[in-house]
Amino acid sequence: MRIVLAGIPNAGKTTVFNHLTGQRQHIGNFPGVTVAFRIGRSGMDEIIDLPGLYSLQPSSEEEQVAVRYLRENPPDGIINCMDVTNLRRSLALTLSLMELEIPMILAANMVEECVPAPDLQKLEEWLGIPVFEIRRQNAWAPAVMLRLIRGEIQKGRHPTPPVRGSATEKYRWLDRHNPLPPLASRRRGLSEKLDRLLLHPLWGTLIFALIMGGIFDLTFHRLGPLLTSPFRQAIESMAAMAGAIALPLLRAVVQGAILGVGSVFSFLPSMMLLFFFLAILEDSGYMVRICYLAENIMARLGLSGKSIVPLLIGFGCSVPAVLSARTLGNEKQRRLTIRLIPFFSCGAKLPVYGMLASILCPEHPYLAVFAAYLAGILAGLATAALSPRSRVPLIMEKPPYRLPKAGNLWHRLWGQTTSFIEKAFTILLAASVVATILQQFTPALTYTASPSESILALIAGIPAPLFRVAGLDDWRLISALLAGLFAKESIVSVLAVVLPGGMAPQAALPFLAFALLYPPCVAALSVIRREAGWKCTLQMILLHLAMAFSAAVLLRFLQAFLRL
Amino acid sequence: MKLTDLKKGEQGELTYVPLPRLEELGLIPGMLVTLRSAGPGGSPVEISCGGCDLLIDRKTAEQTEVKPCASFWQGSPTPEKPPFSTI
Repeated sequence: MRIVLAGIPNAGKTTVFNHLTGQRQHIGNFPGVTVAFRIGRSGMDEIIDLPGLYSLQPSSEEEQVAVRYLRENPPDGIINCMDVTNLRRSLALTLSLMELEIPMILAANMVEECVPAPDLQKLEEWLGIPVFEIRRQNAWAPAVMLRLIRGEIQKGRHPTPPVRGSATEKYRWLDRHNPLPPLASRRRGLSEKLDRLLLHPLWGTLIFALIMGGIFDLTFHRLGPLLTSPFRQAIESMAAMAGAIALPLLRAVVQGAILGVGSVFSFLPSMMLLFFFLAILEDSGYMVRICYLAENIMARLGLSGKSIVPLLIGFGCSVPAVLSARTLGNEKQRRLTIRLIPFFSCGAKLPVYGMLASILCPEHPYLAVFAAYLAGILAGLATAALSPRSRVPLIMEKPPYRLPKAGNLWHRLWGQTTSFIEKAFTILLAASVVATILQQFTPALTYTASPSESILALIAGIPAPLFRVAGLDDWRLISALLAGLFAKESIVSVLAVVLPGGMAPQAALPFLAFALLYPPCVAALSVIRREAGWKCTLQMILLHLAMAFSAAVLLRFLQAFLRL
Repeated sequence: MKLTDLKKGEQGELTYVPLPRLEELGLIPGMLVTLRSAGPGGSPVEISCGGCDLLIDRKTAEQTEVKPCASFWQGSPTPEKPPFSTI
């Protein structure tokens, strides 16, 4: 049997889904859209966890997909997960689902935090639908729940909607006939007290900055490198062992593959840490508060407050930042956010900025690094300001704070990690093999240890004259930039090989401008292509190339004018 | 009057809802809402209705119309009143 979990957002569908399916689940996609949903198995039954929706009149892409699925692929049964602390809204959806005339049960969630305790027996009698109470301690809940819905399906029994029509008519009917007293979450009082601080315009913003700073510090400075270092050492050892392979082409392919796999797994621990912290922010309810604090600023850029999170993640790495933009319900805002992410310099660019800053501003390199980050942000803001806008009203529920559930965190982490590996792995592996061959072979396809004789040098030499006006007409600089398309930090390692004496100061400033603004790495571009399509990806590549070249030329002329 | 004209903590009865999405979330004419707070710069606006909290952007809140009241029963509609027209 095919059973669907449907409910309003934050009703606890994920918890129910995880209990029903355990590890037997995977992420699926509706064809043609980026909306992801989870499919699992419980015995012989297929369980589908639909995106949250408020009615069968969809507003976002996620809701459209969920409604289309329900109408075009009617399941055998529906488990309607409801948040009893948000009963009115939950029941409005229940009335809509009843119109589908599919066997259904209600799974009442958050019962333990509800005040007063809901009379579920009365609810069952009133609606004529079996109501199952989900309790944290009840280990037998999944089996009983499934027996209940299977029973409804086998009897061919489906609920008869007492009212049909618009949302307004449903709510009026509910308000007139609901036999239960008003229910609320016992956490609401504590949430209000916390929000007085966390949503304060000044203190709330400071606390938010501290939390995000702490997350980045742990992910990219303290814990991340600790977890990443064993992977890096193993990769380096394996690449060194591959150096013993006699056949040069085979050696290049193997080394390239090792480096490609290594480059994914070397930053995987940091990515998992980042996903973990973000999952905590989301499940606790704090993510909504972040959107609240950022809404006013983001709205001026034609974005929603929700866009702040992907942009901030972009300071770590563009790949998870682009993936996290899925939480934005509106397609235009999602694409605009994705376009802006590369302007928020990722962690891989920091070694590049550091190297160039020590040339440009040896007394105070940190100022130059800060200026580089700021320049990227300003370029992003300018791009947003000049982009066509579509105003999308912000309408969001503000749930009470809740302690994240370990099981949910784990399943979400696992799903995001496997999705990230799937998206980045193949393209990085292929690109790494190609890059290694280009660096180690001459145009005559003979092995060379000299970079100046390599295919990469030949390729880099082709556009070099075009960069004369920007002061970058040196194949060594171009080859470093080309290598940076695979991994930004490799700019530093390539320059160390091809320019052992260091870069000329006159070239450092235009080079910095170009490295700051040119297209992101191949892994980021492949994820952008999957999330936003080819057209958006090509537009971004052209825009970034144009901005990078223009900035480099402008700075070169400024240098000449000021005789720097 | 506009929803944003309510004072913090003041209650109003919805008379006009500008977006169908708000109706799907239970904000229907006749419903009582309380203005709770506003974000930095005045957006978003936080309102309470039916025991739950909603965040809506300022422009939408300005298009939403209410009439002030001092009803004791928050979040409860007044069934005896005729429904107001909505878009």
